Amino acid sequence: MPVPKKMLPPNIQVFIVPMALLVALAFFSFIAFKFGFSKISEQRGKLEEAKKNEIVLSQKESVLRQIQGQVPAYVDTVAMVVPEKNPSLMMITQLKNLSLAKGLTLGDIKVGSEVGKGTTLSGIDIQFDVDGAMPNIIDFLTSTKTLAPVSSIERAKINQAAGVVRAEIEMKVYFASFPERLPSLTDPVRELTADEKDILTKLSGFTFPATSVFTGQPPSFRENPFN
Amino acid sequence: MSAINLLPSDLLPSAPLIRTANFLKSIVTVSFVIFILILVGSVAFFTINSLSLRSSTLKQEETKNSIKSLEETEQGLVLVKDRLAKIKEVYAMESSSDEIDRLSTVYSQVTEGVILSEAVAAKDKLETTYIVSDSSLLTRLMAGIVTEGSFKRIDLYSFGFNPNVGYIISLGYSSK
Repeated sequence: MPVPKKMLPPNIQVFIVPMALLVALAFFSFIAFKFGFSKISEQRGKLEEAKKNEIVLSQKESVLRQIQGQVPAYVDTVAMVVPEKNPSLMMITQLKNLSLAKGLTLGDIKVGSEVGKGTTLSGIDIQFDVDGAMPNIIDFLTSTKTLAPVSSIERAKINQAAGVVRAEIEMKVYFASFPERLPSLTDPVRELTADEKDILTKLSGFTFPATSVFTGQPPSFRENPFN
Repeated sequence: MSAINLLPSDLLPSAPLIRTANFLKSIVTVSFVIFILILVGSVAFFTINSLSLRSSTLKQEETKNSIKSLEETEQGLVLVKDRLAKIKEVYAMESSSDEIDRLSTVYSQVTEGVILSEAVAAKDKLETTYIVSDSSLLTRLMAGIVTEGSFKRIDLYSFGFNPNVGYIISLGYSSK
């Protein structure tokens, strides 16, 4: 049974109100710190992240707008230089065109199997011979560096006997599957670096395979062959 | 008229305790006022932050929509960057590309009376065989190759003489 206030000693009675106020203050302070301030700090974290995302997104938008006009041309170039699928046929055409331009005869073409399948960069070995004049063969070899798709000469052996010059060349042509996923919307976008721009400038001097686009024909009347 | 307290003095709290209680009461009151002020400030801060968060979210949504309209450009940029990385990878691979350039340099030293009968260019390896009709041309060829300065080391693999064709000389070049 609680003791009535009047029954308490006067020395204790005098502390009841201040102590009650103190307990109330402690209680409200606890509630405020426990819920209010944790909510505020959580909200501040969210706000900081939102501001950071806002900066990243606006930077991304500005970069994309800036390069919007140039990217399609770059895409065509780089997709020809490192194609998605086996480029051996494309390369053979390029080699034939180059050998014709240099007055050489291309022959004994052999295409090997795919090397580095499943990795980020795959390659195909192509072996061939070229016959013709020595300076033209050397010029041919140096010109292969600027052929699209990108390739590397692994070995070249040139023989000259009885006035006939023949080169046996081993070349590797590269290709790689296209990226399948776009980065997240809030991921920052990197501009093209000076190094990358240099490569793009170099690629503009490449010889690309001639391609043509076939336009579909509209349906036309077909005569009945039995009439 | 002054108040008359007829209570016995032992029923009253002691004077120092009353002073302490009053002091405590005033401290708690001041603390309450400070607490209320902090509470009001926090609520105001929370409201301002909420508004900022809402406006930032709206702005982000607008920018996201704008970026979505530029999705084709982003796809293109990703592809360009990916292909450029692959091209760099190819350029970093060892090939006979440098050796072919050096072969071109070596061939510039070939004059009339000198035949480059064989050349092999592979990774870090360039070998040539010359047929030289007379010794003065041989001296000129060797001097030309040495003074050209593209190579750190030139090895003489073989040296022979055939009365029908002249001197047959095989050289290996190293630039490392």
